Amino acid sequence: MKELRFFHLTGTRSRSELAPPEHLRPALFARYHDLAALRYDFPIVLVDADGGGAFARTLSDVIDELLREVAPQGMTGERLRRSVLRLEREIRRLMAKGEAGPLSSLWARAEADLAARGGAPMAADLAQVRAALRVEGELVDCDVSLASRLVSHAWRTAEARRATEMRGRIDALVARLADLLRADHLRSHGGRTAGALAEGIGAAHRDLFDFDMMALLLAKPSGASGLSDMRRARIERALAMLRAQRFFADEAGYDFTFERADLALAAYRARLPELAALVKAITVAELEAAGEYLEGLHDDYFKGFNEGSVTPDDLARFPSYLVRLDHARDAAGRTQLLEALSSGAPLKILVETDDLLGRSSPGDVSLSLDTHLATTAIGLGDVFVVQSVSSHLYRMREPLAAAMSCPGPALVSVFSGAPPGDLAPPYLVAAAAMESRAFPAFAYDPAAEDGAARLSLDGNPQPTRTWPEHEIVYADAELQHRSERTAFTFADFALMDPRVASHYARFPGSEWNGETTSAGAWLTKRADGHGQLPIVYAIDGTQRLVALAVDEKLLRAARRSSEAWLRLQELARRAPTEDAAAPDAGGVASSPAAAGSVTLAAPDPAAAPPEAAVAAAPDEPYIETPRCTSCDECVLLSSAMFSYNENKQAYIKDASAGSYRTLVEAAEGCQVAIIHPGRPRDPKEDGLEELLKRAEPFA
Amino acid sequence: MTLDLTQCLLQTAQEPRDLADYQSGVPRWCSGCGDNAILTAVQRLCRDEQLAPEKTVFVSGIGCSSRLPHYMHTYGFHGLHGRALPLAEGVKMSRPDLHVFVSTGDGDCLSIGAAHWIHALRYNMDLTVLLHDNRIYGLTKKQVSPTSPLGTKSNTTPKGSYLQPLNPLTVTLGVQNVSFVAQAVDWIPDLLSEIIAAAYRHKGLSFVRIVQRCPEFQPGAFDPWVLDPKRTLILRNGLAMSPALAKIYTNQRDHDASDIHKAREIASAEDPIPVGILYQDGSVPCYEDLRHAGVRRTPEQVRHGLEAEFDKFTIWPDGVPAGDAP
Repeated sequence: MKELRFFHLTGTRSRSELAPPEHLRPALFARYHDLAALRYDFPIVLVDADGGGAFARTLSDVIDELLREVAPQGMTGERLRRSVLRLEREIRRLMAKGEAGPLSSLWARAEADLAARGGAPMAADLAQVRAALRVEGELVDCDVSLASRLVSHAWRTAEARRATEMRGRIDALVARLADLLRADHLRSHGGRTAGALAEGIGAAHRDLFDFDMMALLLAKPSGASGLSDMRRARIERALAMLRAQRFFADEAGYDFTFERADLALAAYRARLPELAALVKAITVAELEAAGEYLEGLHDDYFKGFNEGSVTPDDLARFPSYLVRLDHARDAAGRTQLLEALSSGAPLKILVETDDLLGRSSPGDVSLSLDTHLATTAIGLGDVFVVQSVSSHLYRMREPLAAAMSCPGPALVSVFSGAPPGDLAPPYLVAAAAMESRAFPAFAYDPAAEDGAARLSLDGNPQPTRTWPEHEIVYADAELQHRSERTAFTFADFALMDPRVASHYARFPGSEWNGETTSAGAWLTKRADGHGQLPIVYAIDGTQRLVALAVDEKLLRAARRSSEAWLRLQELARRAPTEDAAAPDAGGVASSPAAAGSVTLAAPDPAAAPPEAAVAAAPDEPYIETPRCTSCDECVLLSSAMFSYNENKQAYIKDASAGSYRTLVEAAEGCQVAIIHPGRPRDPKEDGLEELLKRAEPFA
Repeated sequence: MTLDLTQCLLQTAQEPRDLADYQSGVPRWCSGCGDNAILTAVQRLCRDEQLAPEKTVFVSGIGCSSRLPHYMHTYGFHGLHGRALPLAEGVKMSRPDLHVFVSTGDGDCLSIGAAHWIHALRYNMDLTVLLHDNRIYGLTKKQVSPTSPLGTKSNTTPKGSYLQPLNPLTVTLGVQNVSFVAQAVDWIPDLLSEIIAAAYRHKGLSFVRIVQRCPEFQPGAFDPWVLDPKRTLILRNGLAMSPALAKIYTNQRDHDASDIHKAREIASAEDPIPVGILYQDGSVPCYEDLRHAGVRRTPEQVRHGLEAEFDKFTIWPDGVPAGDAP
C-alpha cells in the first residue's frame, strides 16, 4: 500500500509488478467484446434519395421498419423476423471483415450466404423482405472515415435541397424569358419571312402551302410592335447569365468542397462578384417576367448593383462550402480555421480529431487543443457548432442537418475514436471519450430564439452530473457477487491508451482494501488529505477485473476535463437575458389574440364608434353604415343625398340635398332596413303627415 | 416565388390600389340583390390584400351569381353551367401562382355541378369558393333550387316544392379532405368580408356558403333573420367584429374550428343561422402540390413530348423509316 501511495504522489513505480497489464479496457465495457453480435446504431445507411426524410438511418431502424411492414404480428411472423435479424447480423459480420458498399449489395451478399446455409425457406423469407426494401445508400461503420462520409452526406443532402429549389427557379425564368424573345421574334419581320413560316409547318404538309404568299399577307405586323431594343438587350443579357451560371449547374459547375479553410474562403470571395451578377440577373428576369421592370426606376439601381446589394436571405439560397480538415493541429491551420469561421462566409468546416491527448512534456497528461476548438468557436458568435464523438454522430443527425442548412458558417468537430496504436474498436473508444466528458457532445445554434435553447447538451449520458455513474458488477476471488457504483472519469477513459500507462499502477495480487476510493469520488472531494487512494477498475484481455491506482498528474488532467464540462453545463443552463424575457411577458398579455381565440370584442360603451353617437340624435337622419350591403338602392334614388364610403358602404352625404320624402322612400327601399329618416327639416313639406307615419317603422 | 430583392423592388414600385381599381362596369343584378354585398366584400379583400389584378382570376358557371367576374377588374372566366369548379381547378393546375376565386350558385354548384363540387372538395386545391345561396333560380325567373325550403312555390312547383332542401354545409363536411367550411350572410357585410378574407388566407379549398337574399323572386324570405339579430348565431373563433356590430349581434358562442363533430352539429342547425368558420384544417395536402403543378416546359420539351405521343399512332409513308422521319 505504501508503494502505491508513493506512486500516486510521485508517479514512480518502485517495483515492476506494479506495471499494469496491456490491452486494458474500462471495466464498464466488460460486456461489449464482440460488437458484430450486438444490435446497435451501426452500421448506418447514408440514405440516397432525398425524400425530405432523414439523410441517415441505422440499419436496425431500416430492418425494423421493413419487418413492421412485412412480417405479420404474433407467431406467424416469427420465422420471418428471425431470418431477417440473422441477415442483419450477417451484414454486420461482413462489415466487420472490412466489406463495404451500398446496402443492396451487402444485403445480396449476406442473403446468398444465409440462403446457402438455411435452404429454401430462408431464401424465400429473405427474398420477400428484400422486395419490400425501398431504402438505399452506402453503409458506413463506426471507423476513422465515418465523420467525413456522414458529414459530407449531410452537406450534400442539404445542398441538393437548396440546388433543386434554385435550379427550378432559374429553369422557369430561362423558359419564361426565352418565351418572351420567341414571341417577339414571331411578331417581328424576321419571324414572318417565308422561311420562318415554313419552319412552323410540319415537313409532311409543307408543299400544300405557298409560304411566299403567306409572308406577303402577314408582312405587316398587327398591333403594337415588339420589345424595345433596350428591353430585348436586357432580357438577352439576363438569359445569357442564367444559362451560364456555375453555382447550380450539373456539369462544369463550381466545386464547393475543399481541404483547407483559407482556400474555401478565398474561393467564396472570388466568386462573390459572379454571385451578385447572378442575383442581379434573376431579379431582372423576375421583374421582366412580371412585366414590372421600370426603366426610370430600376436602370440606375442595377447600374450600381454589387456584392453589397445581395440580401442575406438571398445569399442563403446559394451553396455553402464544405471544408474537410484532416486535422487543425499546426498553429497556422488553426488560425486559418478561426479566421475563416469568423468571416461569416457560409463555410461548413469539419475537423476530425483522432487523438485527444496533446503532445506535452513526457510524464504530463493534457488534452489536445483540438478538443477546445468547438468551445472556442462558440465565442465567435455566429457560428453553428456541433461537437460529437463518432459513435454518437448518428444521434446528432438533427443538429448536423441544421448546421448544414443554416445560412452562416458551421463547425463540426468530431473525435474519431481511432487514436494511433491499435486499441479497442473506434466505437468503444469514442463512446468512452464522451462518457468520460473528455469529448462531450453538444450543439450550439446561434440563431436559436432564447439563450438557454442555444446550447444543447442533449444526448450526453446523465447530463446533470459531473460524471455519469454506473454499477459495476463482478465476482471476487471467492466467486461472491459484488457490485459497486462508480463514476466514469477521464482516468477510466485514458487507461486504454498505452501512452499514459505510466500513470497507472496495478495492485499486486487481486486484493485491494478499504483504503481505496474510486477516482470519481476522490476528485469530487477535491482533497487528497483524507488518505484514501484513488483507483479505477479495468478489465484485461481475459476479462479479469484489475484495480489500478492513478497518479496525481493524470487526476489533474481529469479535473481539467471535468471543469471544461462544467463550463458547458453553465452555458447550457444560462437563463434567458432580460431582453429576451421581455417579449415573453408581452406574449402572455396578448396570448388570446396569438392563440387565435376570441377577438370578437365585447360591447364596450367607451369604444363605441361615431355612428353610434350619431344614433343618439333621433332628429337627424342616419344610416347604419357597417350594415350596408352596397345594393345601390339609395344611391340610385339620390346620389346627391347618399354616397358610398371607401368600403362601398352607404352614408348620408348631404341630408339637405333632398326632401324628407326622398329619405322615407330610401328607408322603405332599403333591403336591410338600416336607413333612419329622423325628423323632417322642412315643416312645410307636402304630405308630411303621411310621410311621418311611413317613417315610424324606421325610427 | 421570387427573390427577396425582387419582392422589395416590386413593392416599392407599386402604387397602392383602392376599391375602385377592382371595379368594372355597373352590376346588372336586380336592385337590392344580395350579390352586391358579395361583390363589395371580394373587392374589399382584393384591396386589403393588394392583390395584383393580373394575378387574380374569378371563375364562375351560370346563374345570377356567375355574373360576378364581369364586375371585377381582374381576369375572369364565365364558364359553362355547373363547371365553375373544374375550370378553376384547371386554371390553378397550370398557374398555381394565381389567386383563384370561384363564384357559384345553389343551382350551379349543388345541382348540375354537384359531382364537381364533391370532387373539388376531395382534391382540395387552393381555391376560394363562394357559394351564393339564395335558394331559388333567379336568372331564369324563379324555379326551385336544391336549397329551396319545402313548399316553395315557383314556376316549376306551383303547388309548392315536394322535397326537403339540401344542406350544403353538412354535405361538404362529410367529404373526405374537406379543409375549410364557413357560412356567412350577405346582410352582415363586415363579417362577410372577414370570413371571405379568412377563406382566402386558408391554403386549400375554402368553401364559404353565403346565405343571400333574392328581393325579386323571394321577397322578404329572410326578413325574420335580417330584422332580428338574435336569429343569427355568431361563431367566435378569431374573426374580428366591430364593437357596434357586437352590440347588435349578441347571440354568440365559442367554437373550436378544428372540431369536425361540433362543426357538423352546428351545420345542421338552420335557425338561428350560424355565421363564422365552422371547420378548418390546414394540414390537408393540396392536389396541385401533390402533382407538382406549374412546372414550366420549354417549347422543345413540349414538342418532344407531342412527337413521342404522335409517333405511337403514325402510319409512316412507304420508304420512310420511323427514325428518319421529320
